[in-house]
Order: sequence, then C-alpha cells, then structure tokens
Amino acid sequence: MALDLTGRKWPDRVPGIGMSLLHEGYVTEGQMVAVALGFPGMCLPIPADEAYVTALGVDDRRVVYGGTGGRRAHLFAAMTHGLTGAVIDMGATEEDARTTAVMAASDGRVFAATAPGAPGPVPRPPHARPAGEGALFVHEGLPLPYDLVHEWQFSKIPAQKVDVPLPGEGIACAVMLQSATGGELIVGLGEQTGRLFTYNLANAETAVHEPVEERGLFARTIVVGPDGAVYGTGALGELWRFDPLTRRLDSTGLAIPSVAGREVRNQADSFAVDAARGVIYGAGTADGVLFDFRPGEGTVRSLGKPTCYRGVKGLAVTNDGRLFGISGREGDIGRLFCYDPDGHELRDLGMVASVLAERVYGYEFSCSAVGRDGQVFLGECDRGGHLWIYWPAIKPRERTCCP
Amino acid sequence: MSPVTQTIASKGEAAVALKAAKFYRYDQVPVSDTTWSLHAGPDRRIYAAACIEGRGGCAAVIARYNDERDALEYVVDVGQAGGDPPDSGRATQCKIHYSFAPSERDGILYAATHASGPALGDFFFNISAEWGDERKAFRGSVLIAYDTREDRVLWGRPFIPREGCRCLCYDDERERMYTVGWPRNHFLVYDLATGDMTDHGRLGSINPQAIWMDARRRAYTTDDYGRILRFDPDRDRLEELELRVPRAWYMSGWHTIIYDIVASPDGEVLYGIPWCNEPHLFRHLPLDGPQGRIEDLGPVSQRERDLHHPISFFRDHGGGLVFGPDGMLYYCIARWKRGTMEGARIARDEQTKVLTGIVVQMNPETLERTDYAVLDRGDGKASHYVSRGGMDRNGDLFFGNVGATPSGIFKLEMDCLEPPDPRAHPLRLWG
Repeated sequence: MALDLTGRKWPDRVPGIGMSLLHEGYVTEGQMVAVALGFPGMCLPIPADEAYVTALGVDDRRVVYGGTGGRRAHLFAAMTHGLTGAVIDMGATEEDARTTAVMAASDGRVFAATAPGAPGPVPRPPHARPAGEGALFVHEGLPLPYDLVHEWQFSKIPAQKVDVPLPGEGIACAVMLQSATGGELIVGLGEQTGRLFTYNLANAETAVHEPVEERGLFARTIVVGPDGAVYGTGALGELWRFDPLTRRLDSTGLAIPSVAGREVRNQADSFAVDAARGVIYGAGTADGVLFDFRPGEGTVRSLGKPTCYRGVKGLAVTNDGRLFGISGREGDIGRLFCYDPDGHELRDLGMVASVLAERVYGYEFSCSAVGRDGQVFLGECDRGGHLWIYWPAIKPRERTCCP
Repeated sequence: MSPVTQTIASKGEAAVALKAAKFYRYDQVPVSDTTWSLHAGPDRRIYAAACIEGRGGCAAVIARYNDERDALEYVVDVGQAGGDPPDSGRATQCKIHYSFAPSERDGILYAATHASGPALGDFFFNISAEWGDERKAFRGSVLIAYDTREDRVLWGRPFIPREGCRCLCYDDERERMYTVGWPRNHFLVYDLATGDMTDHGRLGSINPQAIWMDARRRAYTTDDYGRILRFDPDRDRLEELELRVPRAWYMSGWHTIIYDIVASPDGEVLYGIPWCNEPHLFRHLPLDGPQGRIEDLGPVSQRERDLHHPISFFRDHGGGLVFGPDGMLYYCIARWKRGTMEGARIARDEQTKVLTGIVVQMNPETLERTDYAVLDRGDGKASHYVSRGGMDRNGDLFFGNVGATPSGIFKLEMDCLEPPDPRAHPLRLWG
C-alpha cells in the first residue's frame, strides 16, 4: 500500500561552514605517504592477499626491511634514498603465516621470525593460536641496485630457514641485541607457551629458557630496553625483565596502566624506546592507555589515552624524542597521534591518508620503524597493504635576534 | 525475428529529432536531492530511491512508478523499515546506493542502505571521523525485503555493521549477496538464509560502484586501478585477474573503478562504464578463456577538453546502462557546450544552459551509436547526471536523476506494441 507523505514535516537544513572539516580530519601536520609493495610502474606489487605488513626493521644503509603475512608471508626491502625508490619482494617464506619480526644484523644479513596463521579481514580472537610452528629465516640482504631511474639489475635470492627454535609453536615476537661477547643475539618469545629463546648469530646456537608466564597471560610483543635487557608483560600487565647476559627472568614489580578494573585483560600492545632518555613507551591492550616506563628509575607513569580507541600500534620515537603511534585496532579507522615529552602534550593528529605516490586511506596498522632521518615507517596490516612513511613536522625556531 | 525485436513498430525513415524523456519529481519527498538507485523489480515495475544526503535527520524513501496512473507512489519509508529512525541522533539511513536486487522467484525486492547524510541537527558527517562514537556514528547499513506481490515490507535487518552499502549483487540460486562496505571497502558475502557475513578483505580505497555476475554466477568488481577482481563461489576466493578496465591514453588507470554495468539479454556479454574522466564504454566477455576478455569500445563523452585540467565527475559522466525492448543498448551521458567544461562552477538552476543530458543508443552488433533522446527536467536544474537505468514491464526506459532538489526520475517511452517477453529480458540482479 502506498504511503502518504504529504503531511510529513521535513527537518530544516542546518547551514554548514565549508569543506575544511573534511580535510582537517586527516593528518595535516607533517607528511604521510604510502608506497605500494613493488617497483612502481614496472611490476605488480606483492599479491594483495599476501601483503598484510606485520613487521619492519631498518639497517645501517637506510634500507627498510619488512615482513608480511597472508596466504604466504613475504620479506621485502624498501629503498627510498639516492637513485632507488622501490620496494623489492625478497620472496615468500611460509604459507598461511605472518612475519612477526624483521631484524637487520650488522653484517648485512636480515633475520625474520614467523608464526602460523595469516592475518585477515576478521580479527582472530586473542586466545586463538593457529596450529603450526614458526621459524627463524635469514636472508643475505639486498645489495643496493644501480640506478632505478635508468637501468637496473636484480637477483631474487630466497631466504633460508635457519632454525625452528620452539617446535610446535609460533614466534610471537623477536628482537636483536648485542650479546655479552660482543656479537649479536636474537631473543624471541613463543606464541603459546611464552617460552623465551636466544639465538646466537655467531655460532647459530639456540637456547630455550623458561616461560615468562605459565597461564598464557602474556603480551605477544617484547622490547629491548635502554639497559640492554628485554622487557614484556605478563599477567595483569606486570612487566618482566630478561637479562640476556645472565639469562635470568625477573618481575619488575611494576604494572602497565589500564582503566581501573580492567587489569585482567591488559597486556602491552606495542613498545617504543627512547634510548637517550632511558624511557620505554608502550600502550596497553585493554584500553589503549599510553605509558612511560623508566627501568633505571623503576617507575611507570600513565600518559593517558590518545583517542577513544582501545588499541595502539606502531609506536615509534623519532630523533627529537617525540613519540608517534597509531591509535586503533583491527576493524577501526586508525588515527595518528603524537606525544611530545618536552611539552608534556598528547595529541591526536588525525586519520591517515596518502595523496602523494599512492592515493589511499590508511585504516589498520601493525608495526613501525624509525629511519635515520627521524621519519617514521608504518606497516599497513590490511589486504593490499602499503609501506607508509611519515615525516613529522619541524617546529619553527623561536626568534632570538632583533628585528 | 528474435523476440527482442518484435515489439518495436517499424519507424520507416530514421527520426532526426531527439525524443524527449518525461521527468517525474518526488513530489512527496521535496527534500530529496539524489536518486542513486533505480531498478526493475521482480514485478517489472520501476522502483527508485529518493535519497536525502544534504540534510540531517532524513531517511530515504523508495518510490515506484505506477504505470496505470502515470505517477509516482511511495512504498517504503526506509528509516521505519530498517528500524533506525532518522531522528535517532545518529547518521541516517539516507540513501540506497547501487543496492537494489530483485528476486523473481518470490517477488521480493531487496534494498540495502548507505550512509552520508548527517544526523538530525548536524550539517556535516564524516563516517571515518565518527567511527568510534557509539552515539553519533552510523549504526550500519540495513537490508530491507519488500514483497512486491503483497505490497508490504517483510523485514528489515542489520546488514553491514558501522558501514554503508555501496553496491549489491544477488545470486538468487545460492541465495547470497555480494556487497562492498563503505568506508573500509571490504568485499563481503552475505548468506540470506543464515544471515552470516563473510569478509574477504579490503579491495582498495575507492569503492567500486557495482558488482556483477557472469552466467556461471561468479562475481566481479574492480580495484582502485580498474583491475578486474573475480570471486569464485566454488573456490570461495577473491582473485585478481589479468584484465583492466580501459582508460583514456593520458590516464594512469587510477580511479577507473566500475561505475555501471549491464548484461546483454542472453547474459553472455556485459557492457560497462567506469567512474573516471573520459570514461570508456567497454565490453566484458567473462567466459572467453580462463581470464575472460575486455574490449575497449571507446569514450562515451566528447573529447573536447583541456587534457591538463581535471574535470568534475559530475560533468563528465556516463551511466544508466540498460538494454531496451529492441535489443539496443541505451546509456546516458552529459554533453557540454564548447568551451564550458573547465569553466566556473555552474549555479544549480543554470546547469542546463551548458550541460545537456543525452540518451545514447548503441547497436551491440555494429557498435554504431546514435543520440536518441534528451533529458530535461524542465526547471533549469541539472538533468544530465543519470545514476541507473531500467526497463519496465511495458518496455519503457527509466533513468534516475542526480543533482537537484527535489530529485526524480525520467521516463522514456519506447512505443512498444506489446510488452517485452520477460524471458527475453532477464532481470538485472545487481544494483
């Protein structure tokens, strides 16, 4: 039956104030650029289903190495200086897996850690752990090419599997640090048991250590602190410390902050280090509360929530000490934020979009790395993900001379 | 003669004057500003969505052309049917985008809603910025089932949480729907029987405006660069094909997403237009080889333009693809006066001074194109932008108008001696 709308009173139009609101909802401070995971114009990028960027690392030559997850996990090298300007696919490592760490060694080799289970459009429940095991891979590293404007030559050399340090489980996260003997050491965390392992690059020996927490209540991310120890969180967000020299695991007695009453579901979501100030920044999974942890002083201080979202990914400290990160978790529209420790200011900078190179919106991110010039690299963990580069704004100097 | 050509009277010598389409405004929805969706329902009557984007606190209304009274009637209040009243304080169910889908078997017309209109009392809405706000954010698209036999709403249910529905495609054999959400732009598969939604991941940043199917019921759409993506229901997987939508020589391919696409009456070939400047009509033959094949049929709009200056999509546009009772393909384009394309913004009530809406007829066998009819609302307002086209049970063609308030639809009489045989003109199953 037809409706009779003749008597309906329609709302009045509210006068607007122009289009600036649309643009200002996005990052307008500094510059955000997305690059596809390929050589633009020359070849296709890494297949969309295999291009969820899940880990990033940088080497001394300013090459950014990354790892993806998906139907196949890939390693890639992003070169953005000199006469380069391409992301080179270094090949697939595992199927239905994700890369959980990428670490560049001082001898040029690149190590990667993996875990079973591909990222996908539907977030996996926190308690779900896919069957399978993770592995450590090594790649000899990508030499700088000739001139990527004129002509070039590449060889596709696959990564080699070097070890399965924790049979039957994935590697949730791994970090590289200087060992007691001066060489480099990888410390990794088991995804299901929480066992720590160490892998010595010099002699390729693996040692497995005690779990950080017996009940599975631990964060799947770890960090190397300013003191050279490895930190993570256990039950109720309590910080633990692993000394690679003594191989000793201790509780710090400190917990990361959350909204009161929600400690039981709080773990570290991501970490970043300001080595110059001796600070480990992080955020918790329960509520996305940012914190400042000073191992040397034995303090944890809440810095607040950057937005209404509950997750925080991609924390990174730039050269001037500012902390950047992405607020939001799977399914959210991520927002870039900045914490300036000098001004004690925490600010949302807006939603993420790139209008140079690739013209795309950025919604979900998982990881970050800081380049030598202070730019922040962000890994987009989405189907058809990109490598994003953020150049923070440079503040103008205060005028000190006479006019 | 084949069934599709028997219904047209002999015209003798070709007519030189263009036919004129008649405009029907939504008189009972005076605040409507767009008609994003127009479709032949399972009853082969024309349904159109009177959408309201520019005003807060309004929900769309589904209108229907009553061929007995030669007038529009209003059949569904979308806010009411979807259980999300427009005065809720949240962003409204303000439109049905390219999201009508008919089910001939049971006479149901499905419609899914989309977002962009602000909440009551607001003048602006950014779905991404409001994403985390449970009180102001868009609640999510709703799917409405309208029984065209009993003339009533059967049900309305939540469809895509938090997102609008950009386009819809219905596989009536598997009883599943293919859709793309906005803003996250994920390809979603919805099981009508169970209500389960399966997310197959993000397509890119620019929503494709259509999803279509081949005769094997594989679904297709495009990514940001016009690359054809295919969803194979038997493999339950989204694949990237080695095919792209054609583009003008000076473009990179970015933004050649699909805008409108229609199947030939025999279902073997599809004709499409992308959403970009100087859009090219193309022919998609999905069963020609493992990847299918695409043929570039050339630009639909005039070449006369400054290639160094970007042009508004609301001026340089093609849409409203529909096969007529005579087996010809019809579509609508905007034609502009020489020298006016890059000019100043045109006042809403002066658009027809520089832009003309033309219905073009193309013979799919010879590819010959002819200007067939002109679109003119009669009030000076924008008449050139057509969203979708459809053919009703009498063989007349209808086109949805976008760009002026109140919105409405055009009717182009095709002078059929007898109604077209429905068996020769299968219903379009996607919006």
